[in-house]
Amino acid sequence: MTLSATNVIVIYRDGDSASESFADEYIALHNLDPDQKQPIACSSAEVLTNESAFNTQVLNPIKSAIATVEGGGRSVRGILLGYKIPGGYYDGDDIISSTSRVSRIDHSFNKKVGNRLFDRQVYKSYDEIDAAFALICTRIDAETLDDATNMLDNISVLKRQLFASGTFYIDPYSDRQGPSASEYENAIIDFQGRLLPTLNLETFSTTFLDPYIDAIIPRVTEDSFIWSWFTDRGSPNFFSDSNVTRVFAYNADYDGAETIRDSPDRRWPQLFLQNDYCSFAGSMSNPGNDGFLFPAPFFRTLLRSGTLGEAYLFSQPYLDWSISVFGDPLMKVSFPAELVEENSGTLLREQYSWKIMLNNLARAVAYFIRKTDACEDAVDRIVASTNVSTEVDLLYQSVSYLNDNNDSQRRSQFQGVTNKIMQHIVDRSVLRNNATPYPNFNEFLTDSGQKVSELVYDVQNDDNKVSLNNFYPEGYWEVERIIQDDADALAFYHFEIQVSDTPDFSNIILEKESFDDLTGWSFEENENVFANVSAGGVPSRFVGKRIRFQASEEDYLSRAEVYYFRIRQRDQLTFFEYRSWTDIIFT
Amino acid sequence: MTINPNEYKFISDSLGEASSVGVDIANSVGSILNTLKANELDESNTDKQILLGALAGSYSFMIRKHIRVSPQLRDIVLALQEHILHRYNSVDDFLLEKGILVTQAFADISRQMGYEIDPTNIE
Repeated sequence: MTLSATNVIVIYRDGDSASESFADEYIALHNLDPDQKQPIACSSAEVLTNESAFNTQVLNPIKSAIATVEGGGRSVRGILLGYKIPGGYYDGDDIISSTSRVSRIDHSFNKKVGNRLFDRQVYKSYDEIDAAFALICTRIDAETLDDATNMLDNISVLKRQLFASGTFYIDPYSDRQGPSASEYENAIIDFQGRLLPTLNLETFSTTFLDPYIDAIIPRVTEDSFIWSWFTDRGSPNFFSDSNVTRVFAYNADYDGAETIRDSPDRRWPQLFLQNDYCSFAGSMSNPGNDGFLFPAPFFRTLLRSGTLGEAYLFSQPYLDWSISVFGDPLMKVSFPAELVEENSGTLLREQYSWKIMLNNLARAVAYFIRKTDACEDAVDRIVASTNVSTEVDLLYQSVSYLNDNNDSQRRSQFQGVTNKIMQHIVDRSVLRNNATPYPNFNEFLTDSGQKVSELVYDVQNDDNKVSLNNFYPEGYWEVERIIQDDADALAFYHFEIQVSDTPDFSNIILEKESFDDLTGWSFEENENVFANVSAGGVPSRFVGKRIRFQASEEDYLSRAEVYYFRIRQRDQLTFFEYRSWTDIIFT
Repeated sequence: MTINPNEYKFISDSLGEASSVGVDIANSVGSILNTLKANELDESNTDKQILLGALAGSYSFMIRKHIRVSPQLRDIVLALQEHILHRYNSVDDFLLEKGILVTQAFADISRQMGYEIDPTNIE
């Protein structure tokens, strides 16, 4: 069951009329039932002194509230912490955010636990399995009740709008140094290049000046989204008057959300709140550069009609940690014009489909060669027989069968369809490359970096010349399999592949383990783009993407021979089950 | 004189292998067709329609040619089993006496030709 109005509750402070008034407004916003508003007896302090106080005043009462609601037959998947509910608690020098801790309410505290729902590369809506790991939890709080209810009013306006239409302001550059800062900067730049254009919004971006200068957005106007990082205090003058709905803003820094109630402080979340943003997030204490909210999973979720609550949960690398997320968990955002998705769901990219088609064509030809070989074996054995009657009775028929499956038949049966496939690829490649706007088949291979089996070339017309560089080496093989969620938890996978010439794998002729040797191993980092597997393995967020092994020359196998393959994943602790299949070497 | 048992085993295995590989040929061509159908290019595109037509024709041909029992395969299997039946009452008697186990692929073709083979004589 995904997140919906039927499985969300709003928490208010027992005995606090302003807090209950806010909860009533939220109930009215979504026309929720009365049992979806639940009180807890807690302090009005924004940050509690320690975990024990938090458990006593917030966590355990919310557990009881959930039990009450679920006892009435309603599942709870989303929680909004309302006005004057504590926003976190101190844990040494850190502040653990309420939204982060409450989302893991069914689990004991595990500081900065890796979020296994973070940035899944194959998109999946929030479901029962995810709920067992973490509930969705957001927060709306402010210095005054008016500020808090004003946020609900803005959300109500957004609900009635067809789509968000203002400018997206993005600032990928900061003055932070070091590998983790570079990684976060690259994540924003990657989002800017890949996903941001598909939102079909006007954009404004800062430009790189110097590694030690924090490029800043000077001022926003007609803005709907802001994603920036570092300069950790702002100014009310940063926001011009706007006629568009302000949807979501985030500035990644180390303490922006330490308080949302102390307005003179000019922290970004307070400024976003006071300037009519419907949702925003911030850090209550330093989350580390690897602990910020990440833009790609956040907007990928919204693009797929996910809720704000899902977007928040899927874009936080860690839970039981310091990021506080503000807004209505049920809020959804539509974007202008026709949705152009980052990838095309289950549809295959055309060029990738050609690779599969050419490989399957080569596979068919390789099987034909195997059939020819079997027929020849039968004939040779009959010819070699010392038994005259065997030869007399069987030779004519066996030769006739061979003639029906010989090399000449192979060419005649495959030539037509091979030429059609090649012509299709050539026709569809017109004007895709400026250097070769009208490529022939060989130029298509060169331009795309794709290779073809010599077996395919062998059965087509001589019109399609192919240079040697564009053939797979004879005996080359590669394997691509989908990465499975074997650990059912946050994990870093390595892979082991075995090749055998017997179906029961009693004779292993090749064995490759990425844990021992990374040569040849890569994984699908972005759609159809593979990156080398690192020594740490492949993070489980790539479940559903592909792992690839490409054989080196010393591991090439025999053309037109059938082999038995099996692969298994391993994480830090466990070797998982093998998955096996059979294939023919078609190169 | 009856065929040498090792020769019978070798020839029947080869015919079984040729037959089962025929299924893989047709399946591989079918996979090309399915891949084209599943790609992002709209089915109304003329280029796609032309190739889909060509692949559908090729797939049908491969099924006829490599999955159905061809006259040439029928003739060689018939000749092999009749060669046995000149000297034995049944193929099973020969297999049992010589201790030969045929492959399932060959047993399947033999059955289609009317020469049922007992499961105890199949690998």
